[in-house]
Amino acid sequence: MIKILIVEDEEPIANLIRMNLGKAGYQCEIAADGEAAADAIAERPFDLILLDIMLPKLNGYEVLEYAKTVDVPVIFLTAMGDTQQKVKGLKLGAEDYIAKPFEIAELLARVETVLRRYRKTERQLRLFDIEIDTDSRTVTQKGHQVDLTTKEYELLLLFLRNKNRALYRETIYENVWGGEYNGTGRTVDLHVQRLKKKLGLEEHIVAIYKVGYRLEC
Amino acid sequence: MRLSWKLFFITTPIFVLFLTFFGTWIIQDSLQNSLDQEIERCMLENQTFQSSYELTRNALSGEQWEQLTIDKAVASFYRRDVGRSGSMRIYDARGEVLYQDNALRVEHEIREQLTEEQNVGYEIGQAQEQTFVVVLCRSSFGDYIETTRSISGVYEKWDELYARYRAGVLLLTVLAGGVILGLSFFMTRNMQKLSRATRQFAQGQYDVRVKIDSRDEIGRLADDFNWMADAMKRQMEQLQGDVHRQEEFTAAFAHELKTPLTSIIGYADTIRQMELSKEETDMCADYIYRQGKRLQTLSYKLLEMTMAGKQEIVRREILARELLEEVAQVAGAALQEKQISLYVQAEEGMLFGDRDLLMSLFLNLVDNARKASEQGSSIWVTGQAQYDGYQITVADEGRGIAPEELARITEAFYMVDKSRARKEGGAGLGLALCQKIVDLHQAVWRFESEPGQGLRVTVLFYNPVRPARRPVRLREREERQRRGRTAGRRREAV
Repeated sequence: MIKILIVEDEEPIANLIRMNLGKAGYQCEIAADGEAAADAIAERPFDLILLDIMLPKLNGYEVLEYAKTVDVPVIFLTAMGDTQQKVKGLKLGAEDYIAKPFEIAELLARVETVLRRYRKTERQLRLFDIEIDTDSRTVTQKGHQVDLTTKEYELLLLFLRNKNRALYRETIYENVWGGEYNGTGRTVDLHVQRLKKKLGLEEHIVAIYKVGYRLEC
Repeated sequence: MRLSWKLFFITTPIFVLFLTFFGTWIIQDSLQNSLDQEIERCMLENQTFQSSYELTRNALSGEQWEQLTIDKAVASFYRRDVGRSGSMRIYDARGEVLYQDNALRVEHEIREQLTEEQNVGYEIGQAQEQTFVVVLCRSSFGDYIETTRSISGVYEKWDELYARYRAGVLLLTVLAGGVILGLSFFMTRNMQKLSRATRQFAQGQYDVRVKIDSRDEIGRLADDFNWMADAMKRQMEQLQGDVHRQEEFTAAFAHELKTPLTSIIGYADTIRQMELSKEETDMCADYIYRQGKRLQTLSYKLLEMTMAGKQEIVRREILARELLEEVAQVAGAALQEKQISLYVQAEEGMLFGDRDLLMSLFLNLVDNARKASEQGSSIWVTGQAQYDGYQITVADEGRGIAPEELARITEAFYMVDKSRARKEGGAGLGLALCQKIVDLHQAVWRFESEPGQGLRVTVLFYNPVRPARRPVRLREREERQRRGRTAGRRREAV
């Protein structure tokens, strides 16, 4: 099981992240200040650290430097819109950053991406009789390769990452296509229909009225 | 054009003009003098000749004169001066030449101008490319004596003088021009220094100052420049400080705004995307509610601060005791929850200020004390009349603040213990607001604390310095002496 350390002094935010990552199948631990974070990093191995910058005792940059010594990927959380802060964090060796306030889907996507980059996730994903190889980006069903477009493939991964979670059309659009969802286009629906048809998921990907879609399994 | 060049181009022509006028005048004058002298000399020669001629002719009888040739007669008293070109001639009334020592002849019309009274005259004329002065006189024998004398020497001398003068003027002009140019460059050097400094200043080198040790106008201008530069620099630093503080405030504010927003958006997103158990949904809703409340507090405090910052306060007399009792009343309910006792002990005295702002100030201080206090502890609010004002102290038995934190507690969004402040619903703006109110009233305050020993906030309000207030203060003091210093009222909030 993948272990994630959440370093965040705001208790509500720390709980929010733990709750959502927990539901996505990660094991989480919370450190409320820089010193507690450093202690935890020294004592136990983690696969990923989510790190707030403004922390009591030791600040985020100091914790980041410490984390680099044990080779753990770090995503930092920042409430500052300041580009310089982001640049500083990335320069110090952070893998990515998440700007507060963030959406849950964005948080999950970034966590997943960094973990995949560090090969912490399984390369072979399974959904019913569908096998997905994230290295070669190939999808096979019952031994036959299924041809998916890039968007369809990313859509499939998004559903896999958010099992049993209602995905709003805007969330899907922003994660797969990027950019602002204008709320009127049929792009999302069209691609979901094609994906369902190609993989025979008509019964599992269900439409939710006025919201979007959910993968049930 | 540079000022030194302007000075040069103005001064030099004036100099040359004056030099020319003066020089020409001198030369003309000297020429006239020499000319007059020559004429005088010629006249004298003519006169001498006439006298000698008349004397000789008078001394001889008519026959003797007839016998003697005129040449011989003249030779007896006149000999031509060889060194000078000229002539001496005698002719009779009809114009027949009787005697001439020289063939030189200058045309003139003196004869026509001679009258009975005026029997001598002169004229200047040309002959043989020379200038001559001709003097003609009528002798008592009715014939005319003409003396011609060359004055070319005078003109030659004059020409020579004039040439020398022109060379002199040229030389002097060049010399004086050089000196003027040099001087004006020297004089405007300070000006250039000043202008260079001004340019540097404008380009952002605010430390540039001009060093000019002269007491003239430019020196004074330089002093003024330096003074202005100092003032500008001070102002700029102040502005930069303000901007910096504003930026810090904005950054802190953005952080304070985004933190509750993150929770609200995050939990709401979770609720709408996932099927949660009843407990989980309740927890999410509770977080959303509390973080929403936090935003509300933040916006109220911010509004209060903006109001306090903008207000032109009207200061009125307020009875200190009344104000503090009202504070106790308003704070009462919140204090009761934690079973904290509030003691108000106030001497007679007046505060001069805005009632609402002062209420806000002391409510904030009491509220801070409440947040820091344990269940069942006490808070003291004490008012003391001072000789120049009124002093109010809010003291608690709470957890206190470390000395190194004391200096920062009035900063906006600074919280000594963030997680605890959050739980108590603080936004980190209370003391920043209090600071504004204290400043508005020109009051001073100080914090005394040790960790675990409670916090003591003392605010000293000064009486307005106005003579009209004096009797009031005296009256108060008399009253105080009558009642005794400890006469205060005790009040328990619980």
